[in-house]
Amino acid sequence: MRELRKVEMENALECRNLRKQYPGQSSYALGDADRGVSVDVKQGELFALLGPSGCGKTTTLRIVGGFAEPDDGEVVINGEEVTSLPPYGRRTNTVFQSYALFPHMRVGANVGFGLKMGGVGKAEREARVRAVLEQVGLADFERRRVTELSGGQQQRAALARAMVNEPAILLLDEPLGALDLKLRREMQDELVRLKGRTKMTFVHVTHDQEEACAIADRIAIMDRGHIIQVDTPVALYREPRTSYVAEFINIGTVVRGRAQRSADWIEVEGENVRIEGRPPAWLNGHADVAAVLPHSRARIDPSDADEIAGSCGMVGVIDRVTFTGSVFEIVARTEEGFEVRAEMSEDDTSSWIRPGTSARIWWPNKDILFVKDSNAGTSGQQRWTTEV
Amino acid sequence: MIVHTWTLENYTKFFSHYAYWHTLLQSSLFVGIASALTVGLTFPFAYFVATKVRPERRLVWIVLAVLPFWTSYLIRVFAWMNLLGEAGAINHLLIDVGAPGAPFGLFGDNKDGIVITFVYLMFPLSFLTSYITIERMNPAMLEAAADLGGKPWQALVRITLPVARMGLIAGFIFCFISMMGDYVTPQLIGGTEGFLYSTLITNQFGSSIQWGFGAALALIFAVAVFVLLLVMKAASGGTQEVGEYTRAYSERRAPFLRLYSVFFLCFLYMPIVVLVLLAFNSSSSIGFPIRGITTHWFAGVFEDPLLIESLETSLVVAVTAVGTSVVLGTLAAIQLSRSRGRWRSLNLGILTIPLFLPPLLLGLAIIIGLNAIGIERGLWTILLGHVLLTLPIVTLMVVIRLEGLDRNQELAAADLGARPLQALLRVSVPQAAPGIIAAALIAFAVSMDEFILTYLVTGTNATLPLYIFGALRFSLSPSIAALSVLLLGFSFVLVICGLIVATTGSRRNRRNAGVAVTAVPMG
Repeated sequence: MRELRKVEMENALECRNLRKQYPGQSSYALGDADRGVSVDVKQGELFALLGPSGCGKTTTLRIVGGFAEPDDGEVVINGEEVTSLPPYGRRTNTVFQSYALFPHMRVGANVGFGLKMGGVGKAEREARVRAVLEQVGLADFERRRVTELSGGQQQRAALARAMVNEPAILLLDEPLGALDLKLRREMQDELVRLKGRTKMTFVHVTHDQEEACAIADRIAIMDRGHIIQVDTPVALYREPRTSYVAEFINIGTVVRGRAQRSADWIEVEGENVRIEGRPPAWLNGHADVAAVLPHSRARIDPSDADEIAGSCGMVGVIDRVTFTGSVFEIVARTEEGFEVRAEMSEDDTSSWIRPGTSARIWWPNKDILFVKDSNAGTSGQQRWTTEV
Repeated sequence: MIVHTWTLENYTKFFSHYAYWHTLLQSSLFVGIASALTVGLTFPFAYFVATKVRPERRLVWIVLAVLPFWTSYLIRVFAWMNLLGEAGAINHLLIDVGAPGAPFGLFGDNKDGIVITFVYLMFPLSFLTSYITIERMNPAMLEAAADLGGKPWQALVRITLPVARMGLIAGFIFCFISMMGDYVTPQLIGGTEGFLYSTLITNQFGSSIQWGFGAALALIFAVAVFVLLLVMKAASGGTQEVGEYTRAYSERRAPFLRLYSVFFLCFLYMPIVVLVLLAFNSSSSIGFPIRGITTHWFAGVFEDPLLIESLETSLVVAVTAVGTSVVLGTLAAIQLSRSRGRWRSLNLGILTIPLFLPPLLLGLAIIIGLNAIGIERGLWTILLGHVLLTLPIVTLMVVIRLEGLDRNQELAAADLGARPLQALLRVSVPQAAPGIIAAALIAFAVSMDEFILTYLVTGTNATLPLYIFGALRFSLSPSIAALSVLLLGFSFVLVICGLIVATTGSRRNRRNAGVAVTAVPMG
């Protein structure tokens, strides 16, 4: 079954064991001395590389686009090894972060540049340029100067310029970073729509987890030159594999401590706090475990309420209550020294919940997540580190 | 000498005599070819430094490239005379090996010698204008071109050159104007008698004593200069100031470009090596071959009373002119950095015009003006000329520095209770101080080196460059080479000090200041 699917759907992109170190820098931008970065992107997928700046996501994109050569490893596009081919020798096109529109050419000439380089005749070129401009909502902009365009329009022109060549993979380097929130949301919708229409494969680099979740079929989360987890957005939230992932996409509060486990039960004991629950099967065999208390599953009661069986909780003082536009976010500082958050809908919040009052915040055991502790052995953000 | 009636006679004379306007055309063509060569040869070098050298090493490359140009202009010409002149090392070599038709000729006589010297002298103008536009280019554009299927040469032709055209055209025009106004280099190198327009103009004020006609010739030249500057302005635009070349972008190696650039650097330092060799050569007549090593000539430098006197004159002129320029220029810069809009561009334009005008025209304007109001030339006319030359340099550098400062700082000072003058004196001026000091050093170097204008406006006083010029023409002794080496060392120290001062302070100012220090056109 699995084998059959593989034949049917050849990967659009395969990165094998990529490693990159920029001259004059001691640390690796991608991979490390022991292992490189490998990732597969399926045909027709919108794949996001997500991570903070300096995590290697842009380096990966540059290697795929041919702007940088890896020290080691291979890039395979549609089954063809392209690692040392120049950008003009491979079927990828990029939407640059700064758009990189050519200021001395009109919009039409910018968009038609790739076709011209490819030797497409004038008549066909013009027709295709017009068609793609219409697709991105820039019909009748051919004769405009790029300097006359607004940020959003420049973004669309850059997108059109990359798309018109029908690349095997369209690379997007934080293309929405410079846009305001409303425009960014619009462009996100538009990207998803375009993807549905064109069947192109997209690789999208971003540091915005909301953006990645909103548009991507799958997300690779990167940290310090390595891919930590590749999953669908839902799977990432439901089952993060490491505490880094949980913290980066802001799933919940991470509690580190000493882990004690039996076959299907685990207890994480930090200073003054004990969290217990059912660990996922894949976690077996890992020594450094941390618990994640998801913000979205937190319940809140007055501090004198009874403890509920089958739950873990902490008592703390409510620090602030913020309305995020869709839910109320309650931030409390617990006696144990944790900052915990609870997300509540308007209906669930009662009038006693206000800054300064003390409350008991708790989670049903089944909602608590257990992950690998990525900070094991190094000093973490929390005061607790495992004492192994 | 001057007939004080309105007449167009001098202009009719110019256009009706084939020899005159033919000289203008011939000069323009010659200088045009030389300028194009300069820009063409410099561009790959500038491109290499701007795109292939790592950002943190770029300033070193720029300083290395421009340092030779902080030696006296006359000394640079002198070094080339010894290499390429009719009795120069290369012609000697060619004759020795029995090369037929030495000196080698493309333009006939020894005009290729002049072309090479011109290319050398004008290098900084063309280098810095190209460099600045290339460096400001968004490097992602070249990647975009490659990404869209453009091969490197296609990216060069379709993207780099059009986007950098402003720098190329500006470089060409600056070179053109400077070369057109240079009457000294051709005279010293030789081989262009009666060939160049600049010589034709100066002859009217010298041996021919036809001031009216000379003035007409100069005005025709001035009009041509303004037309060229307007062309340049019209060609501007289209560059997008986004992004800088960062490390990630410069990693692709370019072995040929690197090799070329290293050779180019060697070319820039060749005359300096020649000078140093000549200064230590024990042969009693200047020139090759090297017969032995001696420091004798250095001792001889300060035994010449004329030299000491000219050095004193130069110092007096430089100190006074620079002092005046620093005071006036800083005041002007403070005002300019605060004004906006049309008034500002107008003022900046008027202030910077002397930077673009060839010193030949400035000098002629001064002597014609002084003559008209009947004032004798003397020390203070030199002073006036030097203030005119150094004032725009100081003003521009201080404006750049002041505008690099965050305007909010003064607002913050005001918010904390400082009056406008206090805010200026306690917040802005201290931060601009490095810029002012650097500007003063550079202005000082320019003043010490100025020849073309000084030669025209001087009375009986001789500055150091005038002394050197005289010595170059009449008594070629190795002492001149020794003196050159001394001056060279002195300029190097001065420029490096200026650079250190200018680049201290905010990181943001660093590269700009570095470029500004080295950018001041010389000659």
